[in-house]
Amino acid sequence: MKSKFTILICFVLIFTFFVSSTQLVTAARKENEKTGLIAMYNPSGGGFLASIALKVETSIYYTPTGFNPDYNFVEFVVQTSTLKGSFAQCGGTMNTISPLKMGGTEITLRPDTFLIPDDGYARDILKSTRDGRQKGTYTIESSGQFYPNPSTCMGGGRVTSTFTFYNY
Amino acid sequence: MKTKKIIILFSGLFFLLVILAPMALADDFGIGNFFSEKEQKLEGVNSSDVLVKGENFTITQEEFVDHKENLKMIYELNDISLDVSNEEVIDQIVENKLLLKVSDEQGIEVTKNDVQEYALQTRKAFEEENISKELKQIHLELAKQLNVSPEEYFTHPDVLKQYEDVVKINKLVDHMELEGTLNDKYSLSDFVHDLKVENKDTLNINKQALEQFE
Repeated sequence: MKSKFTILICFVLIFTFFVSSTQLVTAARKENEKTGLIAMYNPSGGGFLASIALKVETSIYYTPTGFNPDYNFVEFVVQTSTLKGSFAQCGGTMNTISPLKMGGTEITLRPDTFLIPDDGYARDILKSTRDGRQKGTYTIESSGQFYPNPSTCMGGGRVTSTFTFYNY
Repeated sequence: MKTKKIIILFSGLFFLLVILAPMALADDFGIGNFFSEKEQKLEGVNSSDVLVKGENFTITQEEFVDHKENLKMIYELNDISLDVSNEEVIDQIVENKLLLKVSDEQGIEVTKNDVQEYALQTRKAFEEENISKELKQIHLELAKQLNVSPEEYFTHPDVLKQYEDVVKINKLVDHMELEGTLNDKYSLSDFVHDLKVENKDTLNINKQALEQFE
């Protein structure tokens, strides 16, 4: 009977820890998303005007009681739509503005330039170079630029996502 | 004496107007000329002459010339000399045709709504303020070719057909990702490569006809 009770207690403790840690991670994310349209010219099929939607998403991870070094990073995601198939030929490089600035301090971007994969989804995680536990207001700005391969397509543009985060 | 001065001044202004007006009205990038030249070249080609015959699809000489001339314009606007061989141009067209063929085989369906959504997205993209002058000029020329206004371009049946193909291929890729055919280890580029290798023997290129476009 006693051992059953111990097992139950252990189960409750593990469950509580699991739920609380999940909530901790869930609660620790702030994000900003911006989608812009990029105009293009595609030479195939007689030549036609085309477009892609470029989404720039910036997220910051932090614990509810302030920054925790484990969660102290900025995630930067650039995603494009309509870049598959016939547009794969147009996929060139996507550049992000480097260095990014967070609260006036530079954040190292890694890597600076990356090729858009076939699914049009590029992702990069940035590690903050400053001690994120410092309280204050941070403005994070990140941009995704799309440059099509100049030998096969025309167009391009930039989408910028900006948001202000207050570390209390 | 005063009248003489006024006449000289107005003559000078008129002369400047005559000289500068065509320069101001002409597009700076030669895009208008490109479209006229392309039209002339296409007039010299029989639209029904087949250049490449594949399984369930053909590429006409007109399609080939059209695509090559479009590439040429993009190269020139980017100050790069055209270093794409005829075979590479054919390769690009074949790639698209093969993906459309697979889409049909897989039963990929595109609704009218899908096409209209893409047309609307593209129209919005071209209404953005930061759009380049070159793209604006191309928009005008494409609309002129179809005898419609720039706004009507996005609802023209020919354009909607082009958009249908774009959406269809996108849907095919989505479908293949969902069913796991495309994944981290086997990308769309791998699939396209294999598709071309698989269909290589079924392609019949009229090499004699191709030589005239060198």
